[in-house]
Amino acid sequence: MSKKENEIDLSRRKFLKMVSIGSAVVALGAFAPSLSYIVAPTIGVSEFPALTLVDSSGNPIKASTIAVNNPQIVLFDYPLLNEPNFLLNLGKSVPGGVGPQNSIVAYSAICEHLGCLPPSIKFYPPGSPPIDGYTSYIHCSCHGSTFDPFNRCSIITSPTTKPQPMVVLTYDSSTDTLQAVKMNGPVIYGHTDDLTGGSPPKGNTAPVTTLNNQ
Amino acid sequence: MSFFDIIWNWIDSRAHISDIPLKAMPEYTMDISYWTGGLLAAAFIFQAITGVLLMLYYTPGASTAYSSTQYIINKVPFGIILLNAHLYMAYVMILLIFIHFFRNYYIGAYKKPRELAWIIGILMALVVVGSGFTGYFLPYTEVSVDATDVGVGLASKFPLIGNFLASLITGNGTISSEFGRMLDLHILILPAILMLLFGIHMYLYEKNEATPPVSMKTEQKGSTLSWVPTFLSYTAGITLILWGFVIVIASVFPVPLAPEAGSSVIVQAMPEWYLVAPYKVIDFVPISSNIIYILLVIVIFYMLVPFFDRSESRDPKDRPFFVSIVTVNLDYFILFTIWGYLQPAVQVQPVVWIPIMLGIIAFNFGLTYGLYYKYRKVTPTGSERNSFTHSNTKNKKQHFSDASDCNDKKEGVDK
Ligand code: HEM
Ligand code: FES
Repeated sequence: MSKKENEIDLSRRKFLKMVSIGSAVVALGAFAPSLSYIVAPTIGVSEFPALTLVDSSGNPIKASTIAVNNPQIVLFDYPLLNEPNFLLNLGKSVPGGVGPQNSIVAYSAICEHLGCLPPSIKFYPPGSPPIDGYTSYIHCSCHGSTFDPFNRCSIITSPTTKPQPMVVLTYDSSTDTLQAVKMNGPVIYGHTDDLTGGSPPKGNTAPVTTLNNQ
Repeated sequence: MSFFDIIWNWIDSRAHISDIPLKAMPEYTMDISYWTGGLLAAAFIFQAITGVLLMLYYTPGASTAYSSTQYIINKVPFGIILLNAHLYMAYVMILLIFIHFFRNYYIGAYKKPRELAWIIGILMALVVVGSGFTGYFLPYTEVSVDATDVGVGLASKFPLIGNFLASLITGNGTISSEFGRMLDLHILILPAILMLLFGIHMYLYEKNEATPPVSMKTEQKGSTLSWVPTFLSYTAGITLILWGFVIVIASVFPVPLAPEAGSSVIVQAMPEWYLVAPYKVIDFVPISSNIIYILLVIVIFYMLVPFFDRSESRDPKDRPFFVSIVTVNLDYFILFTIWGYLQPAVQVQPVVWIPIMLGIIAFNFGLTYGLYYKYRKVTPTGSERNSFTHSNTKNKKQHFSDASDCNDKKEGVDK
């Protein structure tokens, strides 16, 4: 018995449907991995560089001339260009401090809580309004985290659950200069590790800048 | 045949404009509460127009974004109005999202058959908040950079896809990469998604039609008015009133530009007003950055609410439980917003915030259920309004009869 001309061959139709669905799935499957390209390739450096702290004209900073308890915001980027750090001279010997009086320290200036930047997070010199009995601290006005710069930037008040990372500085007393050599403490906020997720430094110096009014 | 008719006929016979199915709409939709979504659409069009104009002058980049924004404000003719109108309309849009959301919630518009419109609506709300968030970054002020960093930090805590979301915004970590992505999101990706969702939202509205007033028992339409000219002039009217209102406010109360990122001027870090409530909750010990989980639960709850609230009555008077929940949320939002402005970044201990939150729950549920038990017997339809309990078999039956009513109506209306 021959089929009627206009009779629909259902099995054939089903087959075509399956083929189209199948190829659509394959096409989508091929598309899925391309989503990963949304994540930009990481950039950074492979190991901690040793950077000499310099002023804006490129001359090494003299450690003995760094102002004590300077209320201005003094920063340098280390190890990457989007990783700013406070440069502080606390005027007395502190844990981890370097320089003639072991009083110079540097801490990450990106708040470990949720990433606010200076001037929202800032060093308050001695004589500031007390927070939990402390009159000098690093305080972030975004959500009120407070850190103790005299003690490795440990936590004074929450909401932060981590202290600020500390830059390890070395002091060369013959030339009175400072070098940043590595980071200590938790990973710098917003980075999977300190060495990736930002542009590498230019050369082997880290320029120190002071934030000014506009 | 006039000259105008000839031109019109020429166009219409080719573009088939008069075939566009703009259905006659029920008379009760001639009421502003039926147009909160329409106003949102009008606001979106306004944002597209002003946004394109701003793009002519705005230059992304750490060294140029702020100065180009200052240029728009100080040098471009009417630039200050343009920029502020874009800003104010963004605020209006967020406000309208709230109004549209609460209006549709209270009148039970999310119920069958409008669940999909509701879910798409929640997605649109997220996209609109995302647009506000990305737009806030663009002038590159101190506060906007902090707000962005905090937002990225919270996004990275998102379960499973957190790091992906964060890197979506930050790119490779350099500031130029972040500008590229924030700008792309703000002017291209999010608007494209919003338009797509809006298309589906409108299609669903066209098919399911407006939710009748809660006093109407079945999905009956009553008498209708035609789109042209009645609703056409109505929509044109409210659109122009909204636009005019925003342009006037923007001209009279321009918002001063915050200090540039990287300056030493100290200003209290603060997100935009609609994010101040969650911003305050970050101060609640020990919630902090876990706020992201709370927000996630809230969003999922509201997405799924059509499947929780299964009573067939849309009337808020019959839904004390769901009315209480959304009202508690509204109260939290208002309270925490005010609190956030008064005491930003001041930690709140659990002994303070837990009683306050529980108190608001007790107050709202008490008040709503009190009114419910007092008034439910004297409602116009009397004892039939008991649809709150889920297990009521009578409800199930009514449900079916409602559905068939709905079909009857459809057949009757099609022309
Ligand atoms: C950019 C965002 C949005 C736009 C442009 C928009 C637009 C619209 C428009 C034009 C309508 C027609 C009726 C009216 O004007 O009220 C509508 C209806 C509706 N929208 Fe939205 N909407 C948005 C967001 C939302 C949100 C956030 C929700 C709730 C979660 C939502 C849920 C609904 C529902 C349930 C309806 C049907 C209302 C009814 O039957 O009366 N929409 N929307
Ligand atoms: S970002 Fe500094 S306290 Fe939250």
